[in-house]
Amino acid sequence: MFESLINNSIVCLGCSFTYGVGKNKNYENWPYFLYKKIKNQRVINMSHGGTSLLHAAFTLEYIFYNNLKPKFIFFQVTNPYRLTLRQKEIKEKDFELVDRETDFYMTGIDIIETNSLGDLKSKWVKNYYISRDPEKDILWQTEHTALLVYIKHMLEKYNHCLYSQEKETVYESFVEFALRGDIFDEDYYSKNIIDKGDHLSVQALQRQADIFSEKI
Amino acid sequence: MTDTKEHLLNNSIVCFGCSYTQGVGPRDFEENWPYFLSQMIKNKTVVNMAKAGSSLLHAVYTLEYIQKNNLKPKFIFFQVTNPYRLTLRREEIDVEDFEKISDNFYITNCNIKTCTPATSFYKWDRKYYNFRERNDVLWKTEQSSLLIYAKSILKNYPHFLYPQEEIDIYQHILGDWRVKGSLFTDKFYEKNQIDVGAHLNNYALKKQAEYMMTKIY
Repeated sequence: MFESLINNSIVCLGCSFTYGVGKNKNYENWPYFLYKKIKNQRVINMSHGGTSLLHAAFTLEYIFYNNLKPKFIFFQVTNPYRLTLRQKEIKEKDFELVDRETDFYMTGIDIIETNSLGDLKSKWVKNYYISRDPEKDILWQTEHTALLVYIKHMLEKYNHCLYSQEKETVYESFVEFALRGDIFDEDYYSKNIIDKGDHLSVQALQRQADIFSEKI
Repeated sequence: MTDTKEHLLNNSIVCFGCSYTQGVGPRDFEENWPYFLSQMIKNKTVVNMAKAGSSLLHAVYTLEYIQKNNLKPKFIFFQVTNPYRLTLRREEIDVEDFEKISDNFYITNCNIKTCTPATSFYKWDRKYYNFRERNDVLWKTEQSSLLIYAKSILKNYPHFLYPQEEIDIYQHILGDWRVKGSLFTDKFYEKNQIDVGAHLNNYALKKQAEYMMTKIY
């Protein structure tokens, strides 16, 4: 086991719901607010906007197979119908300190290609999505079930919280709760949406951080 | 949900995999090791659910069918396929997919598109392979998840999980046993290989069936 930043840290995995959105995303995401709340505890936000569940599982594998010892892992299950392409393994040098006065890190921004339905980077990916339309391709469900079984298998080794942002039948039986519906009621959630992607306002993210701090 | 009470798979020997299990050539339906196994054990039904060129995801989907329908096969052989494949499937498994070949041997028919680097159906799937095969570091995670999931289902049944050939990315989950290199020496395998896809002749397939029978009893 090498002396990694991750040892004894709180690690957060997921997509843009965890990563943050907009110009100030480095400071406007719930892991950052968690860091501000609990103090003297390193927090590493290893999520990436638009990424697939496969990519989050890959990131978790980095911790698992390097035998790292995070203090706690928050794993937010992402939208199941996504294709992320990644050409490089995770390296510790990818971790970026958000500012000199904090012990809050985010990870390499430019090393992956995220192709969500609303944001396609390559032409062929559009055809991939058409062929694998979840309404038509019945293998998606198996693919995501397999990933969730694998993720749970790895998370068993750590103190963790496995949750989703919204309720989806494909992962309902695997997660502890859905943020939307279980933690925040529909009325509160809807009032705090700031964009078409259902991302939350700073106020709601701070509240999420408060609630999540009690899980550690 | 299928009517499971009298389902063909109950108490049967079920085989999953790709062309190494399904067979190749014009008489693939009876030139495969599960068929030869059915000839050796006449009092048991053998069902070959393998599909040539299909992905590990497709084989795991087929395995899920047994679990979801609460079926009770006597034994499951699960051959791990080549990891770099994409299979598209539109329809769920139906009881009518099972086709009788002999008194105690069945195969399955289904309408799937198996895109391999050698048999691409569309323009985009070649680009997909070009990208994912050469550059993408996420393959290994994807296949590991499928194997861990397959193992979690298989633990509920008497089974044998194995690859045909050595594939690095599986070794940490599957261990060392494989058809080429463990059951057969490399020399024997190569001598009995009938095509560039490393498929075996009937002599070797019968030998394989003999060995597989020892796993059941």
